[in-house]
Amino acid sequence: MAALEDEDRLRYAWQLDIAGFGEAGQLRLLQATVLITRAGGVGGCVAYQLAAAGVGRLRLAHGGPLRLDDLNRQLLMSQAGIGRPRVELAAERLHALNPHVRIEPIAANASPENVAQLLDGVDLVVSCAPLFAERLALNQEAVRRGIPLIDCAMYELEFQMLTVLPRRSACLACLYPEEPPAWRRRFPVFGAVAGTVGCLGAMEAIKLLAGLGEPLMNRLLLGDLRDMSFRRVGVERRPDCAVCGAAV
Amino acid sequence: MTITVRYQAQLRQAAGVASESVSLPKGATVLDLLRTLAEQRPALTAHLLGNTGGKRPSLLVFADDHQVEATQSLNGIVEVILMTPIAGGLF
Repeated sequence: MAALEDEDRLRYAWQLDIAGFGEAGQLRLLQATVLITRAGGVGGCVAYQLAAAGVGRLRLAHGGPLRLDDLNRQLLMSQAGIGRPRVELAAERLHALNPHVRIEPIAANASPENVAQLLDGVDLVVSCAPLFAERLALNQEAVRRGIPLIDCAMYELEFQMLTVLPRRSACLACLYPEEPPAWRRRFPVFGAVAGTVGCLGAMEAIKLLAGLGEPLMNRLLLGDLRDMSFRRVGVERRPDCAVCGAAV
Repeated sequence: MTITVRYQAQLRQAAGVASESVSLPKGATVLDLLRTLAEQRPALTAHLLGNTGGKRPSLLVFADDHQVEATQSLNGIVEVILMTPIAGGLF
């Protein structure tokens, strides 16, 4: 695709005028493939924003059927969809928003066994998984392939986000050299917190794909919506990192 | 020296406060701070320290907005953020 079509110019008119973006930025989005792992509270919001922005291909990986207690935060879903595979529901909602985006629904969560396949052919990964084994497997494969990764996380009214530019910035394993203890399957959170960090992750993805602004490299973004405080704290690459260190 | 400690995520619940001021002798390290906090607030101990009394590996410590290790001196540091790992959405 060398130029936007007339429908693209109309659909994306509100963002085409953004300084530093323009038609060149939109073309980069249209030509991009993004893997989003989990299409729930956080990942669903990321996917919705990227579909609206016109990312050409979204690969969604999320296993399991929709449950009633998902609906406080998983906005791609609906009451009528309870019992159906989440990833199918997400694909339907995204297609309804923007039928030009190609959706690749994969009814499985990321794991060490399937990350190589999941990352095949993608330009960017947005990790919204609840389990550290999953997040660390995605990080390892992304670093190995040199694919940028955005890691989003939340708890109660807090969230955090880290952007990994492989071998240029600290990776998730630099932050967590050892896998943290088992994460509880359920933790307290509002859907609005998921939506907040999901929108931030989507914006970071758009920036990275379009070459816009400054990526969040070597900084962990922390947000606490109890007092609306946002701060960036420094993280550094570990020379002994098992994923991106000098010996790897 | 006096340092402001801010608790994030589950640590805030365990501590019962969002932040507090802690007095430490000059030259104290991150590990000294963690042990002091564990003495003052036993509910924090399992979150801060491992079985051998060292810093719990998964605990994130930021001193004046930079990630630091257990042996880091806190001289000149104004604020320490303590954070347990947090993750994404549910299944």
